[in-house]
Amino acid sequence: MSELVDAFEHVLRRSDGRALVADIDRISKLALSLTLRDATANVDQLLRCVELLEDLDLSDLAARTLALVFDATANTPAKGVEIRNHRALLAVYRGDYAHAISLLDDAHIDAGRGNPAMLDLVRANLAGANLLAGNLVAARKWADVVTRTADTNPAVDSLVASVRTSAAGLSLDGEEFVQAAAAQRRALEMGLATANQRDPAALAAFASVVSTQFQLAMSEGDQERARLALDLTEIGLQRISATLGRNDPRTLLVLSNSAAARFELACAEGAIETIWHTLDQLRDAARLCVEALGARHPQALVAAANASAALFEAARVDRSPALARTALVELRQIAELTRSALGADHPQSVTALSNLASAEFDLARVDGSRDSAERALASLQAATVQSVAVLGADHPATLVLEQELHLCQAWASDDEEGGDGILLTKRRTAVRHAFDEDYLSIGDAAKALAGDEPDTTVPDFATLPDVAPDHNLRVGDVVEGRVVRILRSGVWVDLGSGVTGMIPPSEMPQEPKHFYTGNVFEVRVINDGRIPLVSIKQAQRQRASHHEVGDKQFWDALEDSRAREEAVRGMVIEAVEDGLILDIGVMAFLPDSQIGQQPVRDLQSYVNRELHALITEIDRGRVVLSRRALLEQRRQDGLIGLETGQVHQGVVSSIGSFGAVIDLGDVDGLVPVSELSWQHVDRLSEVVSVGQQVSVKVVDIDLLRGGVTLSLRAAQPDP
Amino acid sequence: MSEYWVELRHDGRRLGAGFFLTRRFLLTADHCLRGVPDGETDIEFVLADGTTIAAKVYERQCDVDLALIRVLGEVDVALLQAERCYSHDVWRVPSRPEPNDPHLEGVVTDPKVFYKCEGGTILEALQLRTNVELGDYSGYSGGPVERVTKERGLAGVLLEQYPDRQTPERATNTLFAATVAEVMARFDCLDMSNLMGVAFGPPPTELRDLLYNATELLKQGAEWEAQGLLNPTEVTAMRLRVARSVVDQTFARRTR
Repeated sequence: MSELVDAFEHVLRRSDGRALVADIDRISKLALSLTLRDATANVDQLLRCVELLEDLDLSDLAARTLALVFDATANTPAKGVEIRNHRALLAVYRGDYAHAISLLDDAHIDAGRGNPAMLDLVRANLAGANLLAGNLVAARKWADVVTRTADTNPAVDSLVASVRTSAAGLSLDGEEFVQAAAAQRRALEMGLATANQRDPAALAAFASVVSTQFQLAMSEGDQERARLALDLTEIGLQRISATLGRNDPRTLLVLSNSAAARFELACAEGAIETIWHTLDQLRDAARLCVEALGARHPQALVAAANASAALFEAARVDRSPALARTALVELRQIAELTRSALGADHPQSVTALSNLASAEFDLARVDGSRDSAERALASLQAATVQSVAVLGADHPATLVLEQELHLCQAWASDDEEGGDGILLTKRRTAVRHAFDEDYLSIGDAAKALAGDEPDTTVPDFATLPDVAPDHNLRVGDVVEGRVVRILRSGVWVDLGSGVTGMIPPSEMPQEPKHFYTGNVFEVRVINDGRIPLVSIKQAQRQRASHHEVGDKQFWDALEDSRAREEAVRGMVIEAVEDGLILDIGVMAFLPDSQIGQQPVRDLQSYVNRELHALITEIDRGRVVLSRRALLEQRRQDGLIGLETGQVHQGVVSSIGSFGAVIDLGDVDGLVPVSELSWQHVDRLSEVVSVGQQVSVKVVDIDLLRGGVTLSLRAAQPDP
Repeated sequence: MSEYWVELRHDGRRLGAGFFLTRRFLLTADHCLRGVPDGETDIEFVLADGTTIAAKVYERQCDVDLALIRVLGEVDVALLQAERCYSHDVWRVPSRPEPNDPHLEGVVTDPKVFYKCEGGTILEALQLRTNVELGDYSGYSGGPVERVTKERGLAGVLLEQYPDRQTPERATNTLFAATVAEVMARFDCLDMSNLMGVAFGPPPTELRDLLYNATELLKQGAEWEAQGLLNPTEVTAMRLRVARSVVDQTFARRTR
């Protein structure tokens, strides 16, 4: 039995989590050798194995193992309830809420017959599973049953209170939310009085309460308290991640909630750089959710929807229609995926559709075109009908959508002139027109709007026109891209004709922090989807590889340069782990130990610089260079060309306790600490940094030793 | 955005290394703070980009050689998310005492061992084997241990070196690191109940909870009486106190 668990752990440990043929063989053999005795002694472990066998698509083995579990527990119906409850939780983590509810329904019946102690927990789990499945009515019903019948039990109370806060949040019912938050807080305190500080349920409950407290603080406009809640969220995230691992769905939930909260606070504070920075974290969290859970997992869909809605909001605040259009494409993709994965009647599908419709309306006002207006109108109509059907005609989100629909109808039919040049959020548009105020809560807006009749004449969502900008880009095309926004998760570039593409970090020669808005690069299209993915690296490689291995004349010339120890010249196109890649007509490798006379610490500062070097090796298309050898050669030949007293431009290549090494192009020189500044220097990093351009004066040339001494302070006026 | 490991300083002197556990708290080995005079808590730390930021010694756990430092002010730092380790995982310590010291790295040989600290306290730790054999690992303890995968994860904090049984003046190539889960459970100020109270004040109480707490206390008293830990007179007195407390609190609620 333990061997089987070890075999699974071996698969899970692998970074990609995929099982190899050998693993599956071993697992199959071990699973087939299980006996009833094994099963009776290890029911919980065996249940985990059943789930893993299903994950590996070994359904027959999973069914056989499950049958063993049922045989082993045939005479203990109480254990059967625990097993079903446990399996339901695993189904929830997988995102299969319908299966979880069906298992819990069975467990509920069995618990009523033979395990009353489990009854409250099963009911609380039913409330939770129904909430996740989008059935708010059933979730509230089960929560009420538990509240009416259960004795005080911190674990059950905590679960029910979390369901109530989430349900109140979805219904935008402020009063219910405050009451539920207080109950949730009480349940947590009681639970923590007895629970271990490392108990996963207590950690998840803590994270949930802190998240609720953040929402309360934000709704009261108390940013200081919200910031405090964020500090606690971070502690909660580290604790749960250390206990359950970063890919556990509970950890990922805390991660994405924490990132969303950070973005919300940044928006409330209005600091544009912080907004983009927190957007980066939000998109990172969404990526991790998708990678760990799969793109169709409900939790991943919510995270992705949040990230795209946040991109639109950031573009709005930054007044960047190009990025807003890109966000719109993402919102559309997510709305479609959510509907296909969860069904049209899931509240998350309605939210995704509403986000899309509102964004289209906002953007249509900027475009001011008839097409955009009609498209926005169609989307708003579809979203309103879905919202009426799923959330109800009185739900605040429905009322706000209706108001937007009226505004859009009026705007489209008025033939009003194009937008006012700014992007408006859903809330602001509705509120500004309805009440002539900028800031009013969505709940209050909804109350004031109550009573309007919804328009139900709508086209089907699937027939809505595509919002993606037209582009004729195809994989392999090389075009120019202008940087419009730099995020850690990628750099957005304007590819012309209103098309915005993204350069993923893996396709950049340098880290994103080395880019600047407005930089223009040649990029190669690597994915021609609705948001094209482009690569600088591949464009550079394509350019560098124009001399094929078969180009004999070119390679003979290179071989000749190597034999005669002649320098070649090339642009550094990439910094890799142990050196630089140069374009000398082919890709050539310059090892880090061969870049200069001193060890180089920041390879990135060499990217996009032109360097000279000697060829030291040519082997079947592989070219290795040495700049260090060239510098030595020049020094020996007395070709330095430097004279004492000259002022030269150079780049700081490294900093040590002795001073700073300056790369003057053909030779390295040293600025001793005493020559750095006219003032006393405590830390060298206060005066110079690696990669910095500096003016230096040559103060000494030792041709015998080959050393050049420079002065930074002598190149500056004496204060 | 700066890296998450830092250099700690006091009065311009280097104390040792530490790293960000969250944006608000830094973790270090307690022995790094030996240079800070008793009663003094003001220190500072230097980020990888050279920025100096003020901090305070917040909580020291001398028995397990760990200390928590509170950051004063806002810092833009690339935090590393905590992660669990498994046997045979590759690990690495990204910080090092001096720029010409090597980075420690190796494999996890046991993801859950119980490590006895010098003071006798048992810690849940990772047992690590390093392929960088130095014989002396002083200066590395207190540094972060990363799990090396596609996404790096913060696995633990490196503990003091483990002496070689044959030649005690040398360290073996076996090292130990306290897991992040263990570290966070060790500090009172990171206790979840304490954090909630500090951040949001005491929780609102309800009569139902009050009665639950009272019932639990009464049950506990009965158990202790049955086990002979309390005599009947003490138990009766305790029951009376519980009953009075319930009545007082209920009355106070109604008149509030």
